[in-house]
Amino acid sequence: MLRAVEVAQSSLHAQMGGLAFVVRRMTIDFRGAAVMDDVLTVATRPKDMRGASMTLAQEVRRGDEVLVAADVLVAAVRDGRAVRIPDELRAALAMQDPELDPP
Amino acid sequence: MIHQLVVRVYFEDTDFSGFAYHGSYVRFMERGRTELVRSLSVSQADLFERERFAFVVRRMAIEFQKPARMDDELLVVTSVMELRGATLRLAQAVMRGEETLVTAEVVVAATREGRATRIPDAMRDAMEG
Repeated sequence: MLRAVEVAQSSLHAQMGGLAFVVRRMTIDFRGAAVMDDVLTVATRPKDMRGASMTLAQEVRRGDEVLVAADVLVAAVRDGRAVRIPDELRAALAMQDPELDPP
Repeated sequence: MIHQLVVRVYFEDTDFSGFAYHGSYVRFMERGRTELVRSLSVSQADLFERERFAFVVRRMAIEFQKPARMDDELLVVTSVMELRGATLRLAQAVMRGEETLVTAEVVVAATREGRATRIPDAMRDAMEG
């Protein structure tokens, strides 16, 4: 999803002085099982955006069937300390979901 | 009941940040749960072969509080919080000495032939101990 908004984690790291995203919390529901050879789609959308963290809602789907659903809280850090999510990234992600609160 | 398992962090468990990759803790906690079941003298492979019985993870709520580094020796602590007819809720923590790095609540369901089934009484009794 970050690549879709033209942001690669390694670029974030290089261009924004060592910025990286770390996973803080995951709540995962396993509803159905995938089997070998299944082709799955991982759908990811921003669900909530705060100053230094955001929640992503993810679904792993096999066709229309949602096999796994998760809410993932990620935090922006630099040198191990919480930092604000860069505005250009915040804006790019907000465009993915017009219902997100404005930054 | 409470179970403890020692796990060492190896290079293969880390990511570009130099710390343990968040998915590694999920694997460590799975080992903790498997060893807890093994400590009840239950071989999951035998149960599956004989009765098509399997535990499946239904839900995980994980908090990543502090990161582990390569070479850290960790302790996966697993305890049974709730034992129902066909499901089990476990509390897990990944510790480094006195420090809590990761905590999780995991709901596991008992299945036979892919459908919900009762947790075998012998296992239930052992877990309540």
